[in-house]
Amino acid sequence: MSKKVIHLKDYIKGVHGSLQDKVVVGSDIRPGQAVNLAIQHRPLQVITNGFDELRIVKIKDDIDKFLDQPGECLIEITEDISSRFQQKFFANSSKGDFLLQVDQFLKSSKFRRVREDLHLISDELFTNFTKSASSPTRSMKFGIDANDETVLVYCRDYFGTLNPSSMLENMQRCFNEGIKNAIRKDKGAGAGIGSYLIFTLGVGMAITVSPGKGSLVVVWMPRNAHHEDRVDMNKSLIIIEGKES
Amino acid sequence: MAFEVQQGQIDNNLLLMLVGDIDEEAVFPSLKNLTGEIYIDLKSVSSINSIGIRAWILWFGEMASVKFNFINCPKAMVMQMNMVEGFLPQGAQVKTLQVPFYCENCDEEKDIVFEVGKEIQIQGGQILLKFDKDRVCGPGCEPELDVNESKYFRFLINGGQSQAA
Repeated sequence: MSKKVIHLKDYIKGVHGSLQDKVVVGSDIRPGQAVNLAIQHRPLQVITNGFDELRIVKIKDDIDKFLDQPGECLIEITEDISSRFQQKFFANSSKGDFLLQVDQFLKSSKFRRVREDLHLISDELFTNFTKSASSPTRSMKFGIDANDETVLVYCRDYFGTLNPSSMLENMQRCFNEGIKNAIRKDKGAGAGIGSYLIFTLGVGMAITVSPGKGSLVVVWMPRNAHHEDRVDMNKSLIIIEGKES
Repeated sequence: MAFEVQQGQIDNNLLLMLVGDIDEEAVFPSLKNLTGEIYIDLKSVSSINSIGIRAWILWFGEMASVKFNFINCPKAMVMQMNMVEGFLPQGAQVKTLQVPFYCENCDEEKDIVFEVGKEIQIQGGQILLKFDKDRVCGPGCEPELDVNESKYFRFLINGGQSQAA
C-alpha cells in the first residue's frame, strides 16, 4: 500500500507524521465524523466502505484529468450509451428542462433504486451552480455515469469559486444540530441542508476546486442498494483543492 | 411541475392536496389560524428539494394546534420522513403510503397504496405487511417489494404511530 495512505488507528495515535497529501482509511468512520475530520485536517481525505484509496492518490496527482473525466477516474465506465448522460447547461438554463432531461435518462428500471435520490442530488447541484455563477452565460458540465455496480453524478463548472469550507460547515451543522434546528437558526434559503442531503444520499462525495480552472462535485452510490440502506452506510469524503494557477 | 395546494373535504375535515414539486418556487398558503384535524394528500407531489424541505418544516411549524393526517405518501416523501428528523409534524399520522414493487417478469415498477392498520400492521414495535401479491402484478408473477422492509416503514415506529391510524 502506498505510503500516502494511513489507517485511522495510526492517525488517532498521532504516528502519521505530516498529513499533507495523505489519505486516511477507516471503514468505521461515521458520516458526521468524516465531515469533522475533513474540517479539522484539511489535507486529509477520508475513505470508507472499501473504496480503492489508491484511486484517490492517483486523482490527487492529476486534478485536471479528474475535473474533465470524473467518471473515468472513479469507476470503470462501460461503453453502453444508456449508462451515460452528459450535457452542458448554463446559469440561465431552465431548471425544469434540466430535471426533465435527467428524469428521462433515469427512467430505465435499472435506475429504480437510485432514481429519486439522483433527481434530488441533480436538483441540488444545479441550484448550487446557478447560485455561484455570477453571469447567466457561465456554463457547467453535468453528468451521470453508471456501470453494473456504481452510479455517479457530477457537476463541473469552469470558474472554480466553489467553497469547500462552507459546504463542510453546512454539513457539520446539520449533523450536529439536526436539520430542523439548522433551519430554525438559519435565515438562508436552504439552511445549507442541500450539501448534507447530497452527502447523505451517496456513499462517497468528492469536492474538487482548482482556482481559475473549475470546481467539481461528484457523488457516487451503489446502483442496486436501497435508499434506506445507503443513507445508513459510512461514506468517503474527498476534498481536493488545487493551487492558484 | 408548478406547485399548488388544492382544497377539498374528507370525513367533514379539510383536505389539502399538494400538487407538483416542492422547491424554491413553492408557495404554501398561510393557514396559521387553523385548528382541528386536516388531511394532507401527497399523491401528486413529484419531488422535494432542500429548499422545499425548509419551507415544509416552517409551514407545518406554524400550525402547532392542528392534527395532520397524511395520505397517499409517495416514496420521495417517505424517504424524507425517514431521513429528516422533524419532517412530520408532532402528533401527525400517516394513514396511507405508496409502497414500491418491482416485477422482474414484466420489468415493471408499481407503486401500491398500503393502509396503516390494514396492509401495514404495527405489532410490538415491529412492522408486518399483509397483502396479496396478485393485487400487485399479474397471476404467476412474483413482484418483489423494492425497498428495505425493515427500514422503509421505520418512521412509523420512530414517530410512535399507533396501529389504529
